[in-house]
Amino acid sequence: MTDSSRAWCAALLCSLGLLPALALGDVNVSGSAYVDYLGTRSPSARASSLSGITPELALKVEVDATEHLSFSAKACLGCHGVSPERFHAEWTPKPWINAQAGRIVVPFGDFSMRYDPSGHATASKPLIYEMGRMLYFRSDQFNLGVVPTPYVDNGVLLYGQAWLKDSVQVWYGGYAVGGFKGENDLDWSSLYQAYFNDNNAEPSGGARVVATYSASSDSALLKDLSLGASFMYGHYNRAANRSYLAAGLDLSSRVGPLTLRAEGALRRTDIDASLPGYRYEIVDPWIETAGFYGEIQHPVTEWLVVSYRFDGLRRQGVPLPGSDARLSAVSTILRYTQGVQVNIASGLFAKLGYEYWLLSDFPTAHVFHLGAGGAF
Amino acid sequence: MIRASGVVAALSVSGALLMGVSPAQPAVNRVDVSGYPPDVQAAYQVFEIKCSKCHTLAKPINSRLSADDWKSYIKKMIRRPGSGINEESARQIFHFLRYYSSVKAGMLPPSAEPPTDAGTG
Repeated sequence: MTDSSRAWCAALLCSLGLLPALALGDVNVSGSAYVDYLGTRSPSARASSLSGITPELALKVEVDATEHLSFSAKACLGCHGVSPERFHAEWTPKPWINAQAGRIVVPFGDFSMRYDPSGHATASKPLIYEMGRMLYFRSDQFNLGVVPTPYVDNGVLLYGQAWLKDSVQVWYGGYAVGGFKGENDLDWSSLYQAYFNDNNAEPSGGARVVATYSASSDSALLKDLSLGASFMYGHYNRAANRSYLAAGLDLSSRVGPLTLRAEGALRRTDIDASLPGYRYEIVDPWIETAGFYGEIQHPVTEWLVVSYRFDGLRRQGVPLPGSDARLSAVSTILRYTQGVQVNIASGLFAKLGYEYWLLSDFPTAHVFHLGAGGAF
Repeated sequence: MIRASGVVAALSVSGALLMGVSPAQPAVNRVDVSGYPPDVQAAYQVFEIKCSKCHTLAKPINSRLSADDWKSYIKKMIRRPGSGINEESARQIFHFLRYYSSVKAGMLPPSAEPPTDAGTG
């Protein structure tokens, strides 16, 4: 570990109150920095998005206290300011049973492993996992995607893996966390603001299972295939009488030089039908947000990676009181994305992306992204 | 005005980064293993597939972890969802990373025979 790494590490640990951990054992420091410019000429889209420059900075410290016990802390700077994204203890006694406790990254979908800007080649996230970098993201419009990622929460995750023969890994995990918050639909920003405690006395829970086949021969065309399923359920309001249920399926594969990914996810969220001000008569007292993406990624040269993505999002349910007047009971987005990532040098990269947004309730928009960053 | 200056700033950052790039530079997201021993080349293939699932290869390639550090780090990666890293894959990944870190540190020429492999334990 270099002196500068140690200084960064000490600074982060000091800020998080973990300085004594430095004395415990091996320390690994990693992180990433990325700035992205989102541009669009559509006045409507510009007024309903976080266009302009957005930072995503992260610094992670992992301390291996013993062979089976480690601590991890990750601080992030983004749209919500500086926040503790991860802060947990991890106990890894056996491959088949391990535990994380603290502020953890909730495993939902394949993208929850790749949300860091250095983990995906496109400049933006798939719509089902998008946060504030989507058009019409506001709570009176689409109110973000299905499960905005990263979803970090306070709780416990038990996980493990088993092997079927030597070619299929089955990873499984179940968790209990504080859960989403809100009163009439979810309030995403409350997840990233102090206080980081639960708003009701009822934990939420979920599970994820992933089966991964790996080819035993290096020359096989199909080198790797993963199929995953995720689920979560809980109550989100203070009185704990309105629930949310989210589920997803994901598939990823490596075929020759191509990386293929596809995911689908939906979330059903109860609403308060007793409130005044709804524009329509309520038939179903919930909102269903569902979406998908399919993505192909391939290297062109050792320094250039090209991505093609097609994704969509549908919000179905009565617009809430005070919603954007243009929002209908069934509102959809279809988006076509082409992006390139240029690997510049020693962990530095630049991203360029073009997106064509086709919306049912809002004007069509052309969006471009230009970003640069690095990871270590 | 703010929007225009934002574009200029983003372009400037990216432009400045790209100006320093030459495609002929050493690999930044891939290792040229053509001069490596055959078993290390085979191990690199496993590393290239497994270790690019969740992050770019630049991350491990540019890391300063030692061989011992890699042993414990790979154990963590094995337990990630969908890693698909079994004992044999882990041994191969470790074999490559240990060799590559020795080459990077100047302890081995690229064509040297690899040291005896102790596995990931």
